[in-house]
Amino acid sequence: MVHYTRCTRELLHGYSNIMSDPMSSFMVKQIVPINVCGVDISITNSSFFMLITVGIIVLLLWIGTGNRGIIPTKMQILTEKLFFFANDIIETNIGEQCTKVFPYIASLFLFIMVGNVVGMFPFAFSFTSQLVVTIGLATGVFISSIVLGLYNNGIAYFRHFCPHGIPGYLVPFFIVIELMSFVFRPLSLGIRLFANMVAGHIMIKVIAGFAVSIAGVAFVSYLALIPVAINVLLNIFKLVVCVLQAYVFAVLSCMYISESLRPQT
Amino acid sequence: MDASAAKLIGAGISVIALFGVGLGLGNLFSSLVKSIARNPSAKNDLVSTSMLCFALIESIALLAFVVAMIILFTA
Repeated sequence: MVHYTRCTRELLHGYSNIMSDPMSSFMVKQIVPINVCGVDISITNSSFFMLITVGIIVLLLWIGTGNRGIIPTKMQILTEKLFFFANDIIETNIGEQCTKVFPYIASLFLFIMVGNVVGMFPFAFSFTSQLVVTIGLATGVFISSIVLGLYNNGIAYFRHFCPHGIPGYLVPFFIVIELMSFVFRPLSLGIRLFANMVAGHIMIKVIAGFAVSIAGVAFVSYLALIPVAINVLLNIFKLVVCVLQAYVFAVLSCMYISESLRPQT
Repeated sequence: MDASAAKLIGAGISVIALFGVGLGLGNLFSSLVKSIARNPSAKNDLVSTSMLCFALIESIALLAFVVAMIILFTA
C-alpha cells in the first residue's frame, strides 16, 4: 500500500507533468510575441537564455580585461585561462594559420560551453537541447569550411574527395563514400551536442522523479536520500560533459576547417 | 499486438546499439591504460586524445537514446 502524505501529494500535483513526461521541460515558450511581416521573431525562453549567455560572456571578458596588471586579479586569471585553452585547441589542430579562425572557433566554444553550463541551473532553459540551435551552429562551420576551401584552393578543393594512391576501379566508390561522410558532418556534429544535453537533462529529471515518489511512501521516506545523492553525482558528471562537449565541438570544427585551409596537391 | 506494447518493445530493441558502444569504450580505455603503463610520460597527450574518442563513441549511445525517446514520446 502506498500512503502519500498531503504535502507530497501537492508536490506531485505541481510536478506531475515533469514526472510523467520529462520531455516537457524542453518546450519552447513565447515570452514577448513579436511578428514582423508574418515572420515570427518573438523572444522565446530559448532566445532569452541565449541573450543571457552572451551577456555573461561579454561581462566576463569585460571585467577580466578591465584593469590589466602585472599581478593579475582572479577574473583576469580566469579570462587568460579560457583564452589560452581555446588557443591551444586551435593551435594544435590547425597550426600556423590559427589566427585566421581563432575568433570564430573561440566564440563558438565559449558560447556552447557557457550555454551548456547556464542550462544546468534549476528552472533555466538549456538552449543547446534544441536541435535547431545545434545543427544551425554546425551548419555555420560546414558552410565556412566549404567557403574557406574554395577560397584557398579554388576548384582543386574537390580533390580531397578522392584520396591518393587508390586503384582506379575503386575511385567511384571512394568518391561516393567521402561525399556521404562530408554531407553528414553538420548533422553528426549537431546531433552529438543535442543528444548529450537532452540525455543528461532527462536522466537527472527521471531520477529526481524517483526521489519525489519515494518520499511519498510512509515509513521508508528517508530512502529518498539515495536518488538525491545519485543526482548530486550526476550533476557533477553533467558539468564535466558540458565542458567536454563544447571542447569536442571546437576540436571537430577545427579539424573540418583545417582540411580546407591545407593546400590540396 | 497492442500499439503501446510495440512501442515499448521497439524502444528496448533500439538500445541494442549499446552493445557496440560498450565494446568500443572497453577497448578504448583498456588501450589507454596499457599505453600509459608503457609510457607514463605521454599521459597528458593520451588522456586528451582518448577523451575526444570517448565523446565520439558515446555519441552513438546517445543516438540510440534519442531513437528510443522518439519512439516512446511521440504519438
